[in-house]
Amino acid sequence: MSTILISLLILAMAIGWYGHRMGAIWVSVLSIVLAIIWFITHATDSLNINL
Amino acid sequence: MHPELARKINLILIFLVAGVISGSLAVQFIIGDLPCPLCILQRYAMVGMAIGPLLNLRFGIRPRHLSVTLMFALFGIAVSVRQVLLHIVPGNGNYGAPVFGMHLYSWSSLIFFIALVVTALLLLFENVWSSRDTPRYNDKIVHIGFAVMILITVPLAALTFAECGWRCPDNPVNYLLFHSPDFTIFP
Repeated sequence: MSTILISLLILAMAIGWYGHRMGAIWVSVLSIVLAIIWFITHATDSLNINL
Repeated sequence: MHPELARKINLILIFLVAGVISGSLAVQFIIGDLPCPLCILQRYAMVGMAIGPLLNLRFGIRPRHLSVTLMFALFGIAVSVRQVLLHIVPGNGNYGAPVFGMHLYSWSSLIFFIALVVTALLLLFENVWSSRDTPRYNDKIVHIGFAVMILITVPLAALTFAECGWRCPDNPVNYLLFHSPDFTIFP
């Protein structure tokens, strides 16, 4: 999943370099939403935290 | 502030982010510390912070570009502070060797905090904001910025894939792709 997240950032950079500003921004936003979900659900599940 | 000066400051910020990621790669290869899942998320947030300055180089300075940087800085600070809190109690162990007296996750939280402050300061200068939505710049600075970030992020993605596959172990000791029969691309 981390690879997918970083790859989405590469895609966002490539889109921005090509000249589509909003495409780059929305891919970044999609990426960070996935990252937040991943962080909350997977990266912390083995740590037995209480929220 | 002159818009050209603001663009040069953005290029410097991109170089700073690239330098920080190069430092983490140096720690990975010279000291031999493999990044944990939280460390990888911090690297990811660090790369994401560069997207705002990159868009500023290509399209002119706009507050919505800096909002992307703010989002990644906030995410990065959440992840790095989480990791600091995991190890903050004395005698509770730590992850990796300290560099210049602090562990990488402590440096990371400090850098994300500084990035938040710098982004907030950049938002103060309204006179550099661009009004047009079409690409404004296609000069050497743009290509240097994008090329540097993509050239450093592609190996990062490849290394993460080699180390983790779909999901990183909590305490990685080697590259799963080369050493483990349990390596999976999808869950």
